[in-house]
Amino acid sequence: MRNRSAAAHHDAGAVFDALGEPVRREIIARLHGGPSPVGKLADQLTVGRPAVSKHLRVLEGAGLVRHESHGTRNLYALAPEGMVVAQQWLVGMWDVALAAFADAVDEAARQQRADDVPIEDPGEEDS
Amino acid sequence: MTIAPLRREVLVDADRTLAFAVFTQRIGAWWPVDVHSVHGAGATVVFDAEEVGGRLVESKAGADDAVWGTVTRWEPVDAVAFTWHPGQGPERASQVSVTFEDSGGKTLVRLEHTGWEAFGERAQEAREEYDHGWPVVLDAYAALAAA
Repeated sequence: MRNRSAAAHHDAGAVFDALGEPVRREIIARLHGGPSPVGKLADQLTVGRPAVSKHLRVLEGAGLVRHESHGTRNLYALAPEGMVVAQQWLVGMWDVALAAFADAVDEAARQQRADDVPIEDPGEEDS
Repeated sequence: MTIAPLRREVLVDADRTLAFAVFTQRIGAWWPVDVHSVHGAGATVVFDAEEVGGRLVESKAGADDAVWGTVTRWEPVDAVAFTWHPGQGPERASQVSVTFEDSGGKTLVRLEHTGWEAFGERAQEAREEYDHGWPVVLDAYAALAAA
């Protein structure tokens, strides 16, 4: 369990690291408009083509972007499955919290039952 | 791009009154602050008022209180909902809604987390806070959803 969690953290960490850079977020935003070659991305951004290529490699490494070859053209596109890792991490948070909540309810219910057990005559009534 | 709501549910062996009370009044007893909080182990969490407008506040000795969100719905035994912006301002809140449904004497607790699109682009800080195990990483989704 600890190992699985560590692996998930590692993957999600790569996603967040990749998105932690403004130019890379800008690239992601541009790619929402559809697949694009490196040159076109560089034209739209304020950084040069080599920098764009480098950012694309980071995004690809995190699983957020993938490239497709169309003849001589190399197009970059969003890889939505990259966000799945990040989403799983968030789901994991709620699962941990809700499991702790369920344990607390169990404990409280046990306590309540123990308190409610009539030791002698339970004849007392409300009002 | 819209992001699908996150939905989780858990069936607890207690009536709705108890399930609601544990979720709200006793959140400080069960919320896993050691892994999911702004201040880490030793912090406590509480709804500071049991009504709409009440706040979910994390406190720890020697640290400033961290407001995680504000109650938007307080309907004992049926539902509680609150905004969700731990580690950042209310303008970046998403929404968490929790409902309590009777299920043959047990209670089905459903949680829905929506509105992640409201987050801005703040992934640097998200990453930093992520290292502390905190889901401000939601920002990262926003980077993808914002376009």
